[in-house]
Amino acid sequence: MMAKRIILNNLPPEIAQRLQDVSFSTLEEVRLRAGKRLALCDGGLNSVLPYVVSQKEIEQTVQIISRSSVYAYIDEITNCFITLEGGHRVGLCGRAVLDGNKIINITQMSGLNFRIARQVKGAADKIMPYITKNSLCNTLIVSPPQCGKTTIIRDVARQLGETFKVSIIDERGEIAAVRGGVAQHDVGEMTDVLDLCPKSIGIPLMLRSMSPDVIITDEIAHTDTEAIHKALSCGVKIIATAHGDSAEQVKRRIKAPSVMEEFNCVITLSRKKGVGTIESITL
Amino acid sequence: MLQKILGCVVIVMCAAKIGFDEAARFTRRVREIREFQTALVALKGEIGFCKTPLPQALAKVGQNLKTSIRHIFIKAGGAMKEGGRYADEVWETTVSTVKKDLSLKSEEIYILNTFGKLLGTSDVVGQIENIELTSSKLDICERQALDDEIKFARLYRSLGVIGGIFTAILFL
Repeated sequence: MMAKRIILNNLPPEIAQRLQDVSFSTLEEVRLRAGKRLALCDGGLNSVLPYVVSQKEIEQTVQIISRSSVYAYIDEITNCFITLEGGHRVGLCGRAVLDGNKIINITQMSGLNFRIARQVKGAADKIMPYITKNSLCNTLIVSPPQCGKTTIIRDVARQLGETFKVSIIDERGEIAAVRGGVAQHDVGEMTDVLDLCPKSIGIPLMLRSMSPDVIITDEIAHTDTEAIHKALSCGVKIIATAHGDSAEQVKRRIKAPSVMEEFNCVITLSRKKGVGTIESITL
Repeated sequence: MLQKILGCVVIVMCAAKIGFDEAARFTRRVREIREFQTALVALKGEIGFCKTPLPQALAKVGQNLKTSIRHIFIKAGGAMKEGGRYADEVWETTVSTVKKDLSLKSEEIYILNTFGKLLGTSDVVGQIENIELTSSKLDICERQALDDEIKFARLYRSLGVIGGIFTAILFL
């Protein structure tokens, strides 16, 4: 289904009507803020439409997106997003309900951000020869946010998934964007996805249950090192991403040199020449 | 004379039919309450164990039901799938559309509508509590409906037949 149809189907009729004539070919975001005008972001440029969105319409939109089933999406809601068909995501903003330090719900929704997802097939073409050099390399892709790590790792999964048994631990639901049990992005023919599961729990589970050749996961942290070490000691390859400017910075943050040494291919990305610019590849 | 006898037979049969139909409503009421309770157990599993979204959960539960209760679940599930409306609004509209085909009393319809008010609005724990509360209310209704069935079902059947015979005698 086309992005426009999916987005419009998930909006109240009055708002959908205002977007009928808008081109979605390069549109990145549709923003709804209570009491503010309907806003669009296209090619990095922000604009507004002459329609003021009410708080009731925002609540109604959440009802439509969640198919009137808050309980079914509560894990996603507490992470401030809901995934739609096609991998598009709706960012949520409102009043956080806390239980100790943990968010248990978001109420009184004040803003929604429809982020239009576009899978870039071939985004990993430049790095694939390095990942597949000498069979498969344990690979770490490092970059600050918004540099295309997830887009690239998704394409790595798609390409490897044609020949290898790939398991994706999709803790934030961004790589495969599963909805209703179906991956909304093409992540490969032989790829299994464990959705919304913490990596520290998911990696050992997938090792036991799906016997993967390679595990792909996003944004590793120090809490995941034990699970990664376990996978590596079982002979399973790991391809992961991490936030950071450089491999050294990630090493300092993760505080597990033995795990970091296992990554024999480290790729650093930036936005210098556009999203996904390869800064360095260390083998 | 033959015409009179035939007329009397028709009168008795019609009156008996009315009595039997009225009696059947008491039996149907018990069945419908029980089936709604069964549906609640299935819904509890769908929500609590599978976290299935309401449109699919209601449709799935409805497919396994046999009485007119199934129409509430299937129609409400279908309407929710279309989107654009709140779950409680969809549920109430569906119940008011289907209730003419049900043998439930107004107090049971009220319980069904109250159940719909909290549908889909909270987390799993809240949904399960709503289901259990509704189920316990329906337990009381089921006991009452059973008492009514025992008391009135035979009475209406007998009244139908006796009333028919009495009317026939008057015509003779």
